[in-house]
Amino acid sequence: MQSVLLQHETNQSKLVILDSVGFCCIFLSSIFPTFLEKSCIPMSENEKAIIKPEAMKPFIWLQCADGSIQQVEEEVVMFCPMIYREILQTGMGSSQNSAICLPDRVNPAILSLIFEYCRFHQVLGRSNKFPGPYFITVERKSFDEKFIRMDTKKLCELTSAADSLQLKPLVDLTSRALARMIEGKTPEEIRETFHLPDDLTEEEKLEPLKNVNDDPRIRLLNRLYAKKRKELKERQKLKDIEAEEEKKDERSVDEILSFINGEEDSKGVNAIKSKKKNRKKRDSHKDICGQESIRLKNKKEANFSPSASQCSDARDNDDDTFPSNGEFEDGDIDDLDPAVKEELDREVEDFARRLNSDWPERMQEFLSLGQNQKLVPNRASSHGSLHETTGMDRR
Amino acid sequence: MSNMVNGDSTVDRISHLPRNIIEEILLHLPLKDAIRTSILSRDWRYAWSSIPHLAFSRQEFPLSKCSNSQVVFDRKLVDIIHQVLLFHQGPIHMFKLSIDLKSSKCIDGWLLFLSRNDIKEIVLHRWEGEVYKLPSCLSACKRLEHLCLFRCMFRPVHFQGFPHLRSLSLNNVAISQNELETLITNCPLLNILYLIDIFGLSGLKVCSPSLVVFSFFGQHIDFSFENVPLLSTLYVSFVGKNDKYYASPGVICKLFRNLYHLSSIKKIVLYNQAFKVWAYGQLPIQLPFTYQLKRFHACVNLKDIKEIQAIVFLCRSCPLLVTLELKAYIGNNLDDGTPAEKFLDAQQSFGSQFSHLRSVEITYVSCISELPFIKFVLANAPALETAYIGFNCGTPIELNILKEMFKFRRLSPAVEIKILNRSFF
Repeated sequence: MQSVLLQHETNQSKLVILDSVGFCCIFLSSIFPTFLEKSCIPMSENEKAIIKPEAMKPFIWLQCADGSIQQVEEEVVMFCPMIYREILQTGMGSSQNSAICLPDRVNPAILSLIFEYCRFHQVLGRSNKFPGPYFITVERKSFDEKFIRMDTKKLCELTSAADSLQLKPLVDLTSRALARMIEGKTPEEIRETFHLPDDLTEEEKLEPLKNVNDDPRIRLLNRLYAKKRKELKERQKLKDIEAEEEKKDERSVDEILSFINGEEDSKGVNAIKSKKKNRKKRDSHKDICGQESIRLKNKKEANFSPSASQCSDARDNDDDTFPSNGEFEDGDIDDLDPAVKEELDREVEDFARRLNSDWPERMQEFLSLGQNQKLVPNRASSHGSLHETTGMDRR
Repeated sequence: MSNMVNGDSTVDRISHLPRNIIEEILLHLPLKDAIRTSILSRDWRYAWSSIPHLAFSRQEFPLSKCSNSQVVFDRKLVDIIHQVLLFHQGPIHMFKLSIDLKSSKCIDGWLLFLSRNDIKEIVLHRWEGEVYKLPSCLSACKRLEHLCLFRCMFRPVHFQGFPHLRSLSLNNVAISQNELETLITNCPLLNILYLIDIFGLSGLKVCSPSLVVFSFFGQHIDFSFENVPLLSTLYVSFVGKNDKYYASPGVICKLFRNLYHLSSIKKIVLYNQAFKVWAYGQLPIQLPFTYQLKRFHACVNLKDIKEIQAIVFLCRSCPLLVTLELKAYIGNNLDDGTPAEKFLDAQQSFGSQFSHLRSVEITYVSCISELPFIKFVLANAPALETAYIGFNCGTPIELNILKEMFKFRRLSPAVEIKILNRSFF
């Protein structure tokens, strides 16, 4: 503390007094300029009378991002390595004017929480580490558990603030608490707890890491989604045939020619495309493939019907492999009890209804997605995305 | 999602926490839950893919949960691990594979992938299937710090050692003596070494300047130490038939021959027949220096004169001994303990040697002729605080044993004798 004061002294020529009572004087003198002149000498004689033991406890001044200034006992503050280092290196914090600026992520409410934490552990341990006999560990643990009970908003803020102050034990504690909130819950529950936006499309959700979500529930959902997709595709086929007549024909000349030239060409292209898809299938994940073709399939554009029919061939191939993928999953379906099955049926119906109802919006989604897809390098089936984009360019 | 009255609390805060915190949160989750976060929202899609610890354990991927055959389970599991490794970005520091995977061909590929990704810790437990032969790419993991193997075969050829290896645990591993010795010697930072049931060893010379903890469990082999200046904890357990132990007469017993090299030893634990084997032989006249041994635990036959002599000699050379724990067992030969008793009674002026002993625990006492050693300790330990005496509960505690015991003279005024009731089984 003394060294800090000396440094401060050189910066401000008016500093004469060398203890915490002096700080009060400087503080007051900045507000009331005449205070210092009036009370300087008498102060230095009276200071011993005025000083109480508690006042001798050194305080550190801290300033939050919003400008508010707090003062905290030095020993509590020293628990934070970042502030500690700052004090040592810059010598700031000894007065209100030179309050240490805290990172943006720390607001006053959270700061008081942090210091509550620091105060407890500092009193219990006098060090940043946690050794100590068993009963101290028990005390710490029970305090930690009570301390961590707060809503997710505060918890996230606390984690962020603790990280910016480099308070490793608190970061650890809060991360564990957050992890406990995530563990074992369904995605919907997690989204609700943390207010996460449900912004993944159904397709993206449907390509989980296969079988990692080893929940029989999720596997069954996947299976049923696949069935639904198939039904939708068939429905789409019918729709397309109707839609063709209604829509303006925007196909390029080549395409119309190829379409007119009929079976052989399209069959040839069919074969090539389905071969491509088969090869792709062997190399990449089957799910992605299935979804590419489904995306292609679901486009209403008339000029897509050649590729659509090609896709249907490919899709049939996919379907053949789907069962082989899922063959061992069928057995699991029977294992579920009727209540779960019922619930799942309801969910699937829901999903189907959603797919059918907001069709135009879905279309927009697919189209906009298509643009994005080709930028994602993890997508193994780059061919698939090329198909999409070239198809749309032709439009 | 849910409509809250306070608009502020519907803000998604967790997704915008700094990267390192999200990683830390995911690290605290079991791997399955961590990967499942990928379907939560766009921000979380690939958040899991940079966690540096991948642990596949039996609890998370149990064979029992999969209602189909082993083959199907294997296929699924290999698929999962392939995908996880493919989607993963960034360095992988810890990889644990402790699952009921029967096929082992894929593991080679995974280890190769890991060796290119800064792997620091590998835990490989083969629960099912045949013993897995580790590929040579394991030696390419230059940053490896912890290696734990179960049921593998490790045959490093032209191996330079792991420059950063700090702990090595081999359990049911097949490795030859030469290779193991080279491995131990060529790992300059090796601190902890556990060898459990190693196949293919006929002897072992442990030479490691940085070794701190050494543990050997298994069939008896003649191992010796050379240049282990930092070794402070030693666990040894020998099981098996005991006909190979007998050294030729005139040879100093192994206990003290090994102790000679263990200048910084602080704790010795000898399970099963380790003490018996090591105490067999001649006792040295005196040891060159005293030791800092603080804790000694062994299974001792309290009626056997040889073993009693060894214990007394040991205690004499370790004046700083604080805790002494002995598990009594009944040996094959049916001596009645009178030679031992006579020997103990003859030990005069021993008090100064037990000067730091604070706790003694002698368990599985089963008959009155095992008491002389207890009497000896009680009579010679001035600083003793607690003496735990446990009886083998197979036999009823006889009142006269207790009576005798409480009659023993106690040098330490504050000693508390506690009777433990531990059963053999």
